Parts: sequence; structure tokens; C-alpha cells
Amino acid sequence: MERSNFTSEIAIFEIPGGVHPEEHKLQSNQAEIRRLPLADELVINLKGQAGNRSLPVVSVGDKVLKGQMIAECDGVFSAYQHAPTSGEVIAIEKRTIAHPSGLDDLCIVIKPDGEDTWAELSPVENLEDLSGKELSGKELSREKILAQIFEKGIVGLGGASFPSHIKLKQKDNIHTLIINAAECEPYITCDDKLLQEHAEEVLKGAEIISKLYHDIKIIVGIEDNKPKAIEALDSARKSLELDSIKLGIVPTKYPSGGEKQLIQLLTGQEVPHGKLPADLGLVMHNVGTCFAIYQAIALGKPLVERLVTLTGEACQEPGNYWIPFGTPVHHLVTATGSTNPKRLIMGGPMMGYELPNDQVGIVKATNCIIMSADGELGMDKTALPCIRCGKCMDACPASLLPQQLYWHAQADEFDKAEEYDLFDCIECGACAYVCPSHIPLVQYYRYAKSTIRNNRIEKSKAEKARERHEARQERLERVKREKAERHRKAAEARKKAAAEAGKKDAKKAAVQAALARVKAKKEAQKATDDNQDGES
Amino acid sequence: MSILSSPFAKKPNSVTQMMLWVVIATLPGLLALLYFFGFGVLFNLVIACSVALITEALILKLRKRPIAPILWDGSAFVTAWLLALALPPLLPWWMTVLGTSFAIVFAKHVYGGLGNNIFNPAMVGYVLLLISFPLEMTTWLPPQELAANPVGFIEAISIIFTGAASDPAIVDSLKQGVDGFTMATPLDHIKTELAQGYRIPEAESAAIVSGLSGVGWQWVNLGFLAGGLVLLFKRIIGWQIPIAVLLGMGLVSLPLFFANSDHYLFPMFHGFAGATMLGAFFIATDPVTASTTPKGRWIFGLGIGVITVLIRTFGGYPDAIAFAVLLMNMTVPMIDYYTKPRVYGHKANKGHGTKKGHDEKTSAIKAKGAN
Amino acid sequence: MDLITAVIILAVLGLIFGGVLGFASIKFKVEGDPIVEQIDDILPQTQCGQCGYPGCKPYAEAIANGDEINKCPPGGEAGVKALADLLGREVIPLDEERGEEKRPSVAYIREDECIGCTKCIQACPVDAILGAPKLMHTVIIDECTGCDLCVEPCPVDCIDMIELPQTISTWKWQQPEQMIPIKQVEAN
Repeated sequence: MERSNFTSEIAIFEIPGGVHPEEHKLQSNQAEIRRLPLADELVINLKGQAGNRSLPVVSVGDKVLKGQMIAECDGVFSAYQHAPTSGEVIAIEKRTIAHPSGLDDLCIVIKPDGEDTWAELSPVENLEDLSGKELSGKELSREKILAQIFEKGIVGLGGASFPSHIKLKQKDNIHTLIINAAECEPYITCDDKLLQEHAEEVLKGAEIISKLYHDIKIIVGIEDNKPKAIEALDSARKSLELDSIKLGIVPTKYPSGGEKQLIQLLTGQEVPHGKLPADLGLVMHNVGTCFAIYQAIALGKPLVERLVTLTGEACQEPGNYWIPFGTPVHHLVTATGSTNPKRLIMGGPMMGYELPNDQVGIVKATNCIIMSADGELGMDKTALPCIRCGKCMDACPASLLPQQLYWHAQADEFDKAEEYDLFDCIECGACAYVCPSHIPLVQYYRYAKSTIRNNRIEKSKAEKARERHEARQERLERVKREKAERHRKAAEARKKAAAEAGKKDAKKAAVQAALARVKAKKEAQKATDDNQDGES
Repeated sequence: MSILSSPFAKKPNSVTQMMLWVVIATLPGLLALLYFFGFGVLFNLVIACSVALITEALILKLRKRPIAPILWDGSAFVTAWLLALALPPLLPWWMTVLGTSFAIVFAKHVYGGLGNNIFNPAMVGYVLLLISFPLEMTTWLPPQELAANPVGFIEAISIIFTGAASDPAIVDSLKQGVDGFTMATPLDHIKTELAQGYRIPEAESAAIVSGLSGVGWQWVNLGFLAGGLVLLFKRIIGWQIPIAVLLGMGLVSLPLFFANSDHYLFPMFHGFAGATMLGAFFIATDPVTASTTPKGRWIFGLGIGVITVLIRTFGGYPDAIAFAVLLMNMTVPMIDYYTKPRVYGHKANKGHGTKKGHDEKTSAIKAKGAN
Repeated sequence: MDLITAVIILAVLGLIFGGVLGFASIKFKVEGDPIVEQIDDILPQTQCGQCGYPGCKPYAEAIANGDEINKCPPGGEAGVKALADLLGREVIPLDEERGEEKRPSVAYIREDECIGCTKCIQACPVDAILGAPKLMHTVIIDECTGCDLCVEPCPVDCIDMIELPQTISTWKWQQPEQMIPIKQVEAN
């Protein structure tokens, strides 16, 4: 593929490992960005972001307008959801969602009315001219922008769907904003295309973010296989007079677009284990997120659609399309005239996942749908034993020992796998890509990771059960003790009472006896008297 | 439906392909062997490879494992191939059979098959033969230029299978023994001479030791070096181990040479003598039994180089690549354990699974989970 | 003379090493959990009593005193394996008499039918049932260990054991199918 001859404006460092898979980007980055006709129904997944499931605020039968809020945040770590078009809510039920498990989860189903009528939009005022210096004025409070980003349901569009308001919350010690335009995965071209056609909006969005931190430095990290996007960025920067923005051109190598990897490429620093980029004073956002933030702030548009790359050999009209969230994948397949794709992959071929069926709706994280033809992707090979060739190790961008991780994961030696830093694996798939034995390495790591996580949850549940059981035992014991104590006391009381009663009886008896004695005496006297009387 | 994990893209490579490249890369060296030492090598290859494949198939059947895919990976073939290249050309056929089947059964499958063996199977087979039949295993033909009666195709077959030659001239030389027909390798020759009290320059005056490292042998080693470079270029093998082996040899032989050039060989001689290049590029780089960490590869290679020269110089055997490889194989689990690379975001090499590191990690993960 | 020297040297060495060992045993003493605690840690704490003991701790004590390790169906095969690892015993199949390994489930009280007899409350080993005499009872799902103990005492049979559905948060990746099985199950 064509490489840009634009020289990087900042020093570029190296990352270890990495691979060069076939790029397959030309298929989709030639045509202009297009739109497809609306689908018959939109299935909006309420768990379409990292964090908690959104809570629906509409009920079945409600009419909604495009951009109207239909689900609210459940806590801070969640996101608002908005109707992607105008229409009627026809169901709130469990549907298959975009997740590798193929499980069901709660979705809001909207039947479009075809009008696509926008609800009233509420842009942040005084933002007519974003290129000017007005932005630094006091009328734009940080809170106001953050609230707008929060309410418009903006999440990271790079793939993880991390709610943006959380990422932007940290205020102190941030000195550099990195715009991630690397887009290192094969096939995907949505960021490339977005920059080619909307570079100005992206940069304006980036500027809004930088204002949040009082004009921090902006670096755009982009791979050199996107010459047109780089040109577009350069000219947008000139026309917006944003000369402080630096372009960091990194050599094309997968996975240079990983957050940690791009940071290493552009700054030479590593995000310390267990820390966040913010701890290095860095904040990173994807180009798509910048665009969405611009739309939310300047136009008041909530996040209701995104640019999705539709590609793969089975796709008859590959390209990039604005797709409303919730559009079922089967609609995308038919609307692009694609026939019998062998596999449907959401995301790229390195880190995406195969869809369980074509009913799944597009979510905020969906950057690409690959409709692959038979034999297009080089998988499906039988795994052979590991020969410890170490090619995985040479490819690992995190400098892990993938062969050891595999060894321990397949033997269920999870503590050993953790000792080899299993949780530092970013699941980029470079190791499995180069493995000559075709071992599905990443699946082993995911298996080990998810098992360890589940075990931890079970462990803490068991711990809780134990505590409750012990508390109960103690309580029962206490109750028994108290009961026994009560019994003992009662018995004592009785005894005392009995003793007391006994004492009383004795007195009585004594009295009686005394009385009897007196009586007897009297009687005896009487008798003697009588005798005396009789004798006398 | 079974759920498959990403990545869905796959580099079009395979174990079979890697093994095939290893075989292809031995061709220059093999040609040199054929040219200088006759067709015996060819028969060794045929015998060893067919025995290896048959043994492998039988064992797999016994172990109730799928036969075709594992046979097809080519690992047994390569083991036999490398072993045959290391054997003297006119070794009796049954010795080749014994060595090969021992390598496959005891060095490979007893440990659990490909990927689980600790010792390099080819070298286990070689060492078994070397210590069982020291005479036959150190008896090489004279290089073609020095041979009075070069051994032909038919003779080679005849000697290998029956121990007798049909050509009267060769029968004569066989009867004459060591001086006429067979000959020691240059390394062996020098060792014997030194033991008899000669100095190196005197020992080197013999015809067989002329040139870089002896007639014929230098070309064989150059051939394997060329093939090894192809493997490096194709990234079938890493560069650390071969370089480290050669460096290790230099590290020991250079000071020795400068200390006393009458008694110790010039490092270049070591580099191109015996099985050096075959060992450095083809044997030591066997992925299964070599160290896999970046630092570990260096240690592993250096160790082989050092041990080889030490045994060649002070030990009882003329060549020592096989012993050196096996000795270093033993240390691989330990090397690997202590040379874990520094993982992204971790400070220097953390304690190897110390309690502290472990706790920090789990608490960090918990913290992440809590977010 | 030589003999005496040798004896003295050995004696001195013995003293030195003995001293070092003694010092090390105090200085680097490992405060290990008593074995009962470690066993109890592995047991699933369902407190169901299927093992024949009145709770997990008593079973842990029994195991420490030599009882079999296969009497805990909620712990399943994995539990047996973990116990075998800890105690250096053979892995044995679960004792079928004790019940089968089941998917995690919780008790559910059909509240319309509940008569408020408190019998289940008394049976629950982890106090996961809420209620009062003559008032409806209900199960706190998060606290329920799925032990079954409340089902039997209910005079009106209004308690069901319901399997917990698999959700995205409990779902986990499966180990890939191996072409070459690690263990071959012996055919009888």
C-alpha cells in the first residue's frame, strides 16, 4: 500500500514486536462516505458501552424523535442512549447482542417512521467560531462541556466504548492530548475516511478537549499508510490556524494503534503496570470520539450514529457508511448487495469477534463489519503442538512470553500464568497470527483470564457465604447460650421461690405448732381444771 | 456452535514450511559433503529419513495419536536429516537405523512428542552412536582430493550394506586399514598428533589439515554457513544463537591461541572445522530444545560455543558440538526462567514470581475490576 | 591425630550449620495457614451438608483428619482436583451418593403460596431468607448459595431451585478444542 512521505513532526520511538498483516484497506477507503436506507427496525443494545447497562426511560408504544434520550445512565460508569431515528418503540426485550458469547441482553427496539425527524438540539452556545480564540473565554465552563459530553452519550469510539466523561474527568497534571488515528487493524478504514472528509471537525473536537485542560499540547498519532488523511489533517490544521497541533507519523505496524503502544511510539514512555495514561499526564482519544464531541458541543447532536467500514470479499459495495446504532447486520448485508458471507466479523480480523447471527444491532463500538468469503481469512487450520520457536515472543508488543502463557493456560495452571503476567496481555493477536503451529493462543489467554476472573468472583462469594454462615452459627450459639442462661436463671428463681415457699411453710408450721402447743396446753389445763372441778 | 476467538487473520506459514526450509538450507553443505566424501552421505540420508518416518508413524499409532498431520509437520524428517548429515559417510546401515530410531523413540516420544522433548533428538542419536561405536563414528573417508581410490556409487552401497567393497583396489585399501582407505578428520588428526607430543604447526603440515581448516571440511562448513544465512534471512531461525555459538568459540579459543599457539588452534580453524557451522545454524537453533527468551538465546549459544572448544581442546573427543548442545539443553528450563524479558509497564526484571510482585499484581487487577 | 582433627572439623561444621539452620527457621518462619483453613478455602461454602457434615468447616476438619475429598458436589471435579493438589492425594471421581455437580442455582419462594411458617428461615445456613411469622418470606438472591436446604422443610412446597441464567458478566471463554488430547480417557 501507498506510504505517506510526510515526515513526522515529533520523534518516533520504537515498540517491541508487532506484525505486518496484509492491510486490505484499499477495498474500503476508495469510495466516498455514503448512507444506506434505514432498516425496518433498530435494535439498540442497552449494554452498548463499557460499564453498567443503561436504564430505559421509554415504554413500548412511545413515539420517539431522533436524538431523544431513550435510556439513562445507571450510575456514573454508564452512558445515555438516544433514539437513532424517529419512530415508535415496539419492544423492550432480550435480543442477541453484539458480544462474542452470542448471549441475549436487554434491547430497545424502534420501528422507524421514515421521517428521521430530529428532536430539538441544544448546542453549547457561543461556539460559533471554534477556530478562534474565543474558546478560552470564561463563558465556557469546564462543567458545561463535560455535562454536554455526558448527556449526549459520548463514549470512546475506538473500540472499548469507555464513557468519555469519565476519561475526561481527571483534571490535574494532564499535559498532552493524543489523538489516536493510527487505525492499525487490517480492513478498517473508518478513521482514515473520517479524517479525509471531516478533518476540520475532528481537529475542532480535539481543540474542545484540549480546552478542558487549559490548552494542552495536541499530538495526532497516525500510521504512514494513510497519506490522504495526513494531507487532510495538514490542510485542516492550516485553515483552522491550529499550528500547535503536531502530527506524529508512525510506521505501519500492527498493533501501533493500541493505547499503550501508541503512547510508547509517540513519547517513548510506558504506562506503568496497573496505572493509567493519565498518570503520565496523557489523555488519548480516538478521531471518531473527537468528531462526536464536536458534534455534541457545537451542534448539540447526541451520539446516534457512527462511521462503520463495511468490507470483506463477500461485500459487494465495500466502503464507509454512516450507520445509525441498532441497525441489524443483516440489513447491512442486503443493503450492500452482499451474498452469503462465510463469516460476519464485527471489528477487525485481529481483535474483532465473529457474530453469532446477523440479527445483531450495531453498537457504539462497531467500527467495522467484515463479510468474509470462504477462505478469505487464513484461519480454520488444525492446531499442531507448540515447537517453542519463539515467533510469538518476537511478535508480542508487551514483551510477554506467549509460549509460556499458553503452556500454563492449557494446563489450567492459572497462578503460573499470572506469574508470567497474563493480565498484561492486550489480546492483540500478534502471537496467534505468526504461530506456525496455528495454535489459537489468544483464545487460551481469554479462557485463562475469564476463568481467573470468574474464580475470583466465586471466591469472594464463597467468602461472603462463609462469613454469613459463621455469623449465623455464632448467633445460634448465642441464642442457645442466652436460652440456657434464661433457663438457668428461671430455674434458680424457681428454686429460690421454692426455698422461700419452704421457709414460709416452716414458719407457718412453727406458728401452727406453737398454736397447737398453746391449744394443747389450754386443753390440758381445761381438763385438769375439769378434773379438779369434778373432784372438787 | 463453538466460539472462535480472534485473530481471524493468519500469517500463511506453518511448521511444515519451516522444516522444509531447514532441509533446503542444508543443500549447499550437503553438496560439499557429496563432492568430498562421496555418495555414502546420500544413503545415510535415505536410510535415516525412512527409518525416522516409519518409527514416528509406529509410535504415533501406539500412542493413539493422529498420524498424518504429525508426520506431515516434518519434524521427524528433519531430525533424521540432520543426524545423517553428521554421520560418517560409510557408516554401516544398521548403525544409522539404530541411531535414528533411538532419537525418535527415546529422545522425542518418551518425553511426549514434538515440543515436549528436552534434548535435541538428532544429537541424542549421534551421541548414542558415538559412545557405542567410537571407532566407526570417527572414521571418515579422505576428502576426494586426497583419496587414492575415490569411493563410487556402487562401492558406497556395498560398503554400507555389507561392509565389503566390490572394487579390488578398494578391497585392498580396506584391508590396509586406516592409512589407505579411511582417514581421520582434521580435528581428530590434530588431537592425535598433539597427544603424541607434536606441536600444532607440525600437525598442520599433514595434507588433510591444509587450507582454512582442512581439505574438504572448510567447504562443507562454508556450505552450511551459506545455508544458515539463508535461514537467517528467511527468519526461520533467530540470529542470536548462531552468532552466540561462534562468539563463544572465539571467546575461549582466542585467548588460548594467543597464550600458546603451539598447543592451541587458531579460532578460525575451530569455526570451520568439524560440525561447527552445521551445529551453530542447524542443530543449536532447534526451537524445541533451545532457549526461547532473547537473553536466554545468547546464554544458550555462548554456552555451546564455550563447551565445544573446551571439549575439543581438553576433552577426550575430537569434536564436541553434540555434547555441548545436549549439555546446554539441560540448562534451558533454568535459563528461560531467569531470563524472562521485562514486560511492558513493569519496572526492570521483577522478582521471579516473588510473593510481593504477585500481591501487587492481584491488587492492581482488583483495583481495575473495581473501577 | 588426623582422626581427631577430622572429628573436630566435623563437629565445628555441624555446630555452624546447625546454628545457621536454627537462625533461618526463626528468621524466615513461614506463617502458613493451618491445613484446615486451607481446605476450607477450597470448599465452596455452600454449607449444604451434602457431605454429611453440618457445614463446610466441619467437612474441612474431617478431610484434615483423613476423610475422602470427593464428598462435595457443589465444589465439583475442580474442587476435588484442588484438594488433591493441596493434600498430595489422588484425584478421585465425585462420590455419586452425595449428589451430582449442578449448575449454580438459587432458591425462589413463590410468594403467593407462602404461609409464613419460618421453617425455611431456620433451615437456611447463611441467613439468606427474609421474613417473619405469618408474613411472606423471600430469598435474597445475592446471598443464596443454592444449597437446597430450605426446599425440604417447606410445608406447602412453595420453594423452587432456579438455575442462574448465564449473562455476559458470568460468561467465559472456553478452552480451545485440542487436536491432541492431553489426557486420554481410558475405555473400560
